[in-house]
Amino acid sequence: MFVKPGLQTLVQDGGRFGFSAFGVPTSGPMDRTSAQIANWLVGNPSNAACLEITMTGPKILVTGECQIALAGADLSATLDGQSIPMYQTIHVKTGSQVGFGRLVKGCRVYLAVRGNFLIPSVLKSKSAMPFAGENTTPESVAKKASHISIQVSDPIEPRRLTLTDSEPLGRVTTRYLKGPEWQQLSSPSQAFFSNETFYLSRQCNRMGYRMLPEIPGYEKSEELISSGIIPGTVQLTNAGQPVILMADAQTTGGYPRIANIIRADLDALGQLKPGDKINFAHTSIKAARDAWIDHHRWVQDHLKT
Amino acid sequence: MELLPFGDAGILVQFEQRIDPVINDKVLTLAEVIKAHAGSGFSYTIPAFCSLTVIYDPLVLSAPQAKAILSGMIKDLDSHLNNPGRSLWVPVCYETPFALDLDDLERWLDLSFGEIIRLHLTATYRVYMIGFLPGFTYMGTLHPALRCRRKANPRLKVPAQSVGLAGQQTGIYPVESPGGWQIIGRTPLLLFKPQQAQPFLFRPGDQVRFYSISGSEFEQIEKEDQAGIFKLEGYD
Repeated sequence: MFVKPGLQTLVQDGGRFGFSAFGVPTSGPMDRTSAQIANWLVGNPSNAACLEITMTGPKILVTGECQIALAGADLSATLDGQSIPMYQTIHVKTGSQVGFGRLVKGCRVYLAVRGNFLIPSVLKSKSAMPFAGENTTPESVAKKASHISIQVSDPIEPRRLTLTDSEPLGRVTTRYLKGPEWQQLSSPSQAFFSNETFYLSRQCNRMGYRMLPEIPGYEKSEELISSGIIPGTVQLTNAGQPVILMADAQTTGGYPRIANIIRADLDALGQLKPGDKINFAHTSIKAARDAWIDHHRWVQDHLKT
Repeated sequence: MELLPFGDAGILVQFEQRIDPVINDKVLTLAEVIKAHAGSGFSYTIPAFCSLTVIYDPLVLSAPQAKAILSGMIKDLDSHLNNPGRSLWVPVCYETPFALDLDDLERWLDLSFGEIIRLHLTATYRVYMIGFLPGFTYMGTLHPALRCRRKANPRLKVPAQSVGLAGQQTGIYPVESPGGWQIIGRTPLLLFKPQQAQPFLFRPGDQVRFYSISGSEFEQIEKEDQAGIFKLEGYD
């Protein structure tokens, strides 16, 4: 039971696919790898539903015995007031309270529980659905005194993962490929995008990050006919503000798509918060694919079942 | 027609940039062809007015491989163009509690209330695209006399099922949402029923005609629709 829900505590599984022709966002974790790690630490399938906890954590009363694990941001997690480590399986006794404190690093932590979240799937996913509101997936959004029932599986031998600094968290240079409307930018605007250090404005959420500063002297070209957008797409508003679309982004839009962040760098973006800085570095589609293949190999090597 | 790289796992198939039923047929047919090739490394597509975003699995396909397969599919496209759409008759109540912007529109378009509704009812609209919100239908094309701008100050809350006008299009809000379309009525039908096998009322490619209903008919149809017994003409 959620004694306190925290700033934003949502259920996320692998995402909602198969409805992109109907305007349904794909959703899923903002930092997929951390969610996969948390699930692996408790022996769940990698796309199992878990909690995505953002910046200010909830206080959770656990009724029943279970195994949990945390991966992603460091929110100073506690069990009955005692600090608990991340990246390892933790046994939780009935009547315990899981709490969180100061945000030390990152933005979102994933809490996996060994077993199965007993909440209904909507459009084949347990992820909280944006736009359609809390009416559609009410059980995927933590509220004060709300519950999530879990069908607990038999405990596993505790697992632990040691991360080195080069791994998923904390990268601030994010690699991009030129988008379909890149050529609509003047060369000074292109140079500004590639050389400037941008930061996340306060208008950042799971749908997208509005970045600052705006690109100076940007002149909007003719209106585009609405077309597809995906997580990682960077659009430019009429004022020249770059917006990075994230997991809950709508499926279509009419602003110029100047760039796409490569897949291998999306998880690190999911751990940024307002005020954090980003540099955009151009890369090639070949290098992007190699980075994704490397990432996939890392996951296979470290999260063996 | 161009194939543009779109991120490290996507290709944007950009047809001639025009809102046109034949071009939209190509978009929807290509989406169907890709769907029929399940297991070939393509993950999903986003059909829009005159473009198709194609997402593939970069662990399976390289960008040149994905592009080559797509090019092959596009070559044969014209030989089996088809429109998967149905012809649907959709009830709309244009009465005052629902027609939030009719007063403003009368002034801007210099048409009477009755004339605006009559013109809205005369055309058959194509669902060109569903986007912006889950189930939001972009339909065209409006009678030229009805073309209008979006509201200068968008509403913070447009009620679910509101029927609106913007530019040369008409559309329906599936859920309550902020929005800037000029609202002229409301349909009693739910556009999004999350628990049903077919959760969305409309599909891209559908042909839609509206008919006018009274406030009491609105209530009656709304009840029947929620109970699952309303039969929408043309719906399969």
